[in-house]
Amino acid sequence: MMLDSETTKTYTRPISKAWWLRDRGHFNRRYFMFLLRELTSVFVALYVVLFIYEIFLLTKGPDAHTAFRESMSAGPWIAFHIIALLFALYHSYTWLGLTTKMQAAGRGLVKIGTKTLPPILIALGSYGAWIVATCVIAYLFLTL
Amino acid sequence: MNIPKHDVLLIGGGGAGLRAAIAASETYRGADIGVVSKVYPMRSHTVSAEGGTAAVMREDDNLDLHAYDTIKGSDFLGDQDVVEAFVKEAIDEVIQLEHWGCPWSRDEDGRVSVRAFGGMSVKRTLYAADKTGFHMLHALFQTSLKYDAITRYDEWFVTSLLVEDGRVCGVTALNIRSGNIHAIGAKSVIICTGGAGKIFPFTTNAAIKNGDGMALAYRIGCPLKDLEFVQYHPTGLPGTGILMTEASRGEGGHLVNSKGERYLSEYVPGKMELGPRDILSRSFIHEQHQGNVFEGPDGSYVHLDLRHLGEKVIDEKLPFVRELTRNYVGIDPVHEPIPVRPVVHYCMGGVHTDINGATPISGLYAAGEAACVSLNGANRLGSNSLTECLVFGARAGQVAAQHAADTDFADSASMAKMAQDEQKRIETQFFGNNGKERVANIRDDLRKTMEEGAGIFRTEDALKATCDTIRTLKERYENIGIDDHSRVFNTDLVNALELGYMLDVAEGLAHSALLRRESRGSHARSDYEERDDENFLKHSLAYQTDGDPRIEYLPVTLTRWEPEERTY
Amino acid sequence: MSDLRTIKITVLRYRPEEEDAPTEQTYEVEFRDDWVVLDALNHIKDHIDGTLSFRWSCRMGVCGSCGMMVNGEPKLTCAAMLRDYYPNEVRVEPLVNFPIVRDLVIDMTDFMDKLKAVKPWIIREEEKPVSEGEYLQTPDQLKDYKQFSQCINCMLCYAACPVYGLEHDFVGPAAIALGHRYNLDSRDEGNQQRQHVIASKEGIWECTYVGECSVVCPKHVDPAEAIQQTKVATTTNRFKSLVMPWGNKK
Repeated sequence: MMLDSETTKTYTRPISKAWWLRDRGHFNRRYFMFLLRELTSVFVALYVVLFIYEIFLLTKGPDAHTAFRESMSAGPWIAFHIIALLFALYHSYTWLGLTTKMQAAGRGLVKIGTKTLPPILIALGSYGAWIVATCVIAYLFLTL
Repeated sequence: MNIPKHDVLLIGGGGAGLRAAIAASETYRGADIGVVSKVYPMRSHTVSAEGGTAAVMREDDNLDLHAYDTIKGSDFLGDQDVVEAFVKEAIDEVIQLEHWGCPWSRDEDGRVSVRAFGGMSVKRTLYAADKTGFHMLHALFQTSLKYDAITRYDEWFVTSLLVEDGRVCGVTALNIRSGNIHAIGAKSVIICTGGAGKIFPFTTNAAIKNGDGMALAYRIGCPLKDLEFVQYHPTGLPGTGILMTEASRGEGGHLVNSKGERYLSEYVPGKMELGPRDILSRSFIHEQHQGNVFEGPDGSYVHLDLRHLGEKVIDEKLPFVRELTRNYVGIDPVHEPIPVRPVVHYCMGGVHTDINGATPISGLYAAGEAACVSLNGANRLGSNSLTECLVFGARAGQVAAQHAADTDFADSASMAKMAQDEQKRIETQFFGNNGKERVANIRDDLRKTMEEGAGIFRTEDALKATCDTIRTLKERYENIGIDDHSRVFNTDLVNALELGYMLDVAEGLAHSALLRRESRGSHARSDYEERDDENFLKHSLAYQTDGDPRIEYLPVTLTRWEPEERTY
Repeated sequence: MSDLRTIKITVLRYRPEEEDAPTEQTYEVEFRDDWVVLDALNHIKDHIDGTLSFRWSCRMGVCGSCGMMVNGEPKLTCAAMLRDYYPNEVRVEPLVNFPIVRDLVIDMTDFMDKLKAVKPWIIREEEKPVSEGEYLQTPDQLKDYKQFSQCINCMLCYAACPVYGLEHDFVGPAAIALGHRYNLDSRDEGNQQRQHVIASKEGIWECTYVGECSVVCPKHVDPAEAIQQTKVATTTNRFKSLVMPWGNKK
């Protein structure tokens, strides 16, 4: 507790709307990559909307669905899908990279006995599981 | 007129101050405690202490051994009743701090670890890697946050002690943020402002250590005791004076001269690198005279060699040493020796107190480096000072709270008036005149003369010259001018006020040193090379007068240990 | 002795009694090779312009006073070597995301309040008397929280955190890491009492993991890690108490 009724006038610096692009005159790569990661969710969300719409069209019979599939082969839609895929990959990559943070230099949530599992193993494990899961889903989709 | 009031008011929020504040608030229910500090408490200089804190913790140790080591280290100037109380209470205090969360380094069985330290005959120094002071201070500060009885005045700077009818009844303090000066009433005031290393040019001490509290007490007639004893730490980085902890020698580091010899075999063959600091620092000067030192841009130095300890030990026990040397001199101690030289580190002297931290002035107490309870005598052993903050901080807190319980506050209106007078005095002195003297110039000249006259080796002539110079500097100080005449966060003004404190402490120090015509502990006189128990087995007390300080003497309390020759 | 070189230091000035908004002032400083930015500021204060205000104390990177923006990055000015910037000019500003009191001095009241809010002290249901000795704690148990006990309260992480800049309610990196430090301490039993601050909307869930706090931390405390660990632990505990409401003891 600080007894001080005598606060003086202070100056609060405004935060630029472009703080993530130019941070006090410098390009801050981490702020930019962070905002990019936030932005990925927009594309993922758009893709999900599109996907739900596609499922909805399935209930309208094969013709509607085929027409939809054909309209998707237009250039802009392909571009959209590529961007959405890249963003999804980037988001997953950074999210799984976060798992290393559970394993501090000394402290770790995942332990074997008293030994903390090295962070790199956690990350590799996560990426491995991700790749396996992707392959399984791809296999199911492509073969069924 | 309403002014803030507290039963007990701390000046200083470092190790001793926070320990005292907690002790005072636990002494009786309802005790109201204030802590005034010119910096946020966790910035206090306790934070820089590295090596450890001493207490008897193991089966191979005992209280008498710790007491004897401390007394011998003090060159028999420590009061033995104080030492005995200290070693006894040290144990509970370090355990108390453990209970408050201090992250002490541990043995495999879970007990707190102990390491070797200079002048200690067995391992008894508890540590938290080599950031012991940092961890102790943060544990104390964080613990203090849970006490609602403690009110903090962060970044308030005390400008004077208020005295009424011969007793201290509060302080005037500058709220650095607003620039206003306020009276704060108190039944008891405890000075815990640390030492005055910054009156020397080359020191491990932080910028804030200007002897503020010592000067505050001195100005109201309280004597400063044993001021002439200033400890040089043997291992500081040349140039910056950054401390290379004694723990680096406690863990097995070597001091090596330019010939590649562990030269301490000449001086302290029985202890080598674990000899006491005063002797090690003097050994460096002897080596310098013999031309056995390295020369660099920041003067001569020797090597502190840790390479044989290996990376693992260095990272585990001395990580801060590695961090500091890498950052500040670009040296990795795993691969290269560290350049070091003696550097001003600690004031054994300070505000004269009894065994409980009470000064001769009613209502005024002191603890920690600012005080001289006469634990350290003529030379402090490494790792006794952090413990001293705890033991005597706690004692002073309790006694001050008991005193407060039986005392009334002074009249608020008269205290408020004193604060108004103080504001006028300061405005007239620093804003009103058109003085031409810069703070930094007087400060630099003071530091220079202190090193010349009151350094590791002292002589009558050099000390006289220093006393004369200080007198001139005090005259120049009357003609000081500061650039900044604004109110909000005026650090120019704070620096000017601090300089006034430094001059007072320096004056007391130089005169005490001049009159002690013997060599004892850290006070080495080239013209009086022997210890003289017949004439000087006594404490000096410096009193402020209108002219030069008056020096009186006080006998040393001896209980069970007769003074003997001090060899290691 | 290395040669003296001259470097330009531009400092953000704010004198609340004279002006409504900050201005800039440039000084030329001759510096030695081993000087840090703080040395230059002290040189200015001592010999050029005594009106420049800033905080500092230990000059060895442990008191935490001298954090400022140096060329846009939060730094301890006592650990930022001038030679690393030379021959470019150095721009010194007060830490961002905090109100400026004067020149390079920021108002840290909010930070101090947040520090206290996480109850950074040992909480126990029953205190062990001092006479019974220390709590035993193995080196492994010490290691669990040691890293998070290294915080010097320099607030660089708050200056680096855009979330704190935009949402001042955010408890913030250092305070959460400190609360986490006590939660991980084998002597402590106060996890529950800290949860309402740490695991709240203004606590860990405000963090969107920019990660910049850990990058700028001069003591490698890694607050981002503390926050992510707490997120995982909190989620796991909530899930557990949902599935096994009877098994939730602590």
